[in-house]
Amino acid sequence: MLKLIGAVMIFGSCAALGLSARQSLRRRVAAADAMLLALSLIESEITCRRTPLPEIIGELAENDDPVLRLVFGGLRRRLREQDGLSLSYLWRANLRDCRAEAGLGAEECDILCTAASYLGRYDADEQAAGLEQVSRRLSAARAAADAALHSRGRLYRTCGVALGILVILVLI
Amino acid sequence: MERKQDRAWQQAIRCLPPPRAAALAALDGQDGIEELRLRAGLPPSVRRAGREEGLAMPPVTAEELRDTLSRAARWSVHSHTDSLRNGFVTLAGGHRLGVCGQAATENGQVAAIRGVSSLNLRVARQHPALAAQIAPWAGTGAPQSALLVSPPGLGKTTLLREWVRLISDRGYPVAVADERSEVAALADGAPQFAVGRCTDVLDGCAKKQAALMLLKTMSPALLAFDEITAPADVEAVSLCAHCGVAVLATAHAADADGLRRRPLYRRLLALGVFRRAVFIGWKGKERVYRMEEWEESICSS
Repeated sequence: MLKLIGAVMIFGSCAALGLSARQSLRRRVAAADAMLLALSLIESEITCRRTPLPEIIGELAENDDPVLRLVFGGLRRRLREQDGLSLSYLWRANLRDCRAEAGLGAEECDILCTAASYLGRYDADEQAAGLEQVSRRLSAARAAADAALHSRGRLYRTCGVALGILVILVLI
Repeated sequence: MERKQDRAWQQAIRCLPPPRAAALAALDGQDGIEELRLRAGLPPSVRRAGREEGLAMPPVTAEELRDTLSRAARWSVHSHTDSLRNGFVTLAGGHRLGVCGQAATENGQVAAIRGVSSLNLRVARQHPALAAQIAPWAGTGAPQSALLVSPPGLGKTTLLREWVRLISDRGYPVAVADERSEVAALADGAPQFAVGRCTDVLDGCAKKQAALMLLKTMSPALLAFDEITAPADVEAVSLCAHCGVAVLATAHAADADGLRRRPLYRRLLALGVFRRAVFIGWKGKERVYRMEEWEESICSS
């Protein structure tokens, strides 16, 4: 009986390892999707309504998407609390600090950091052009993350299950 | 000794980088400061009673000017493109940041100002005591048209705001075409200055379009415009002429003679809307207000 319980636990742990590696790839794609949506909303607010950035950030901080709530909620808090620092600095610092928790990949984070060079500094058309460029690069990174999810995701899951079976067989 | 903090001054200097704002927040005689001047390479100075006084502070840097402009625009230049083309940004509270530097032009029009060289932060304040001065001129019956005239910086907008408040609190519907957001300083739809209980404010809209909208939709007894400075503004007044709506407007001139010499204001006077004007001037360090009534022949001359 103890052997059976031990075998189930080992199998479960190894399978969970594989599934968690796959899940982190899935979260990376979801985070990239959420940030693409945010860039699109920012661009629309800037070009159509000329909304000031602090207001756009406030609206995104109350979005239904948990990634957007996390990223923009943090940025809104920093804007309130760290009044002495520029928006560009806060944008970059916030993205780097909440990257892991939001599930963003390092590449996507670096791409999003470049948006700080455009945001709020130019008139609406120039900012929209800059944001579109950032969106294109982020879309490409998202596509690469999605491809990795489909290829490596299955591999991680299979490896986890196989490792579990292997360990059980060796121990028995 | 504890220094007296002036709320308007403290609010206006919030657009400055924190170290500079902290130094200026401790200034003496804050309630008398009308403007703060920041020029690259020079220490800041303040204007009190029409006179500029230098401050014993470190010189202003070009980076500080850029930072101040970004903060004033709330990191959102796109929200202030039109006003920046006209050389200013209006801040929360109705304060105005004037911008000087190198103008970037496109098709002969100013597209933007880059390389900021100096800034002028004009502090907006409410002066309820002015109401007593205005009351006899505003009368007790239906509102009448009046032109408020002075050189820049003497308080035309402040006078206009008090006039609007006085008429509005008497129960007459007043509409304000607040193109530069300085009269009422709307924030989240609510005026930050007292403009009266019967006042409707159209904020950020060009005067001509605002006049059409307000006349059609708000049925005002008095329509107020701040700063008639362009031919389109005169057209805005002409839309209201002789249709049963009184007009209150401000104009830049030292006296009636100066007003009549300017082609723009000759056109304005020729409309026959304004039969009287209030002139603001200095007497020592005090502002003085003087009402002039005009004959029709003088108005249309």
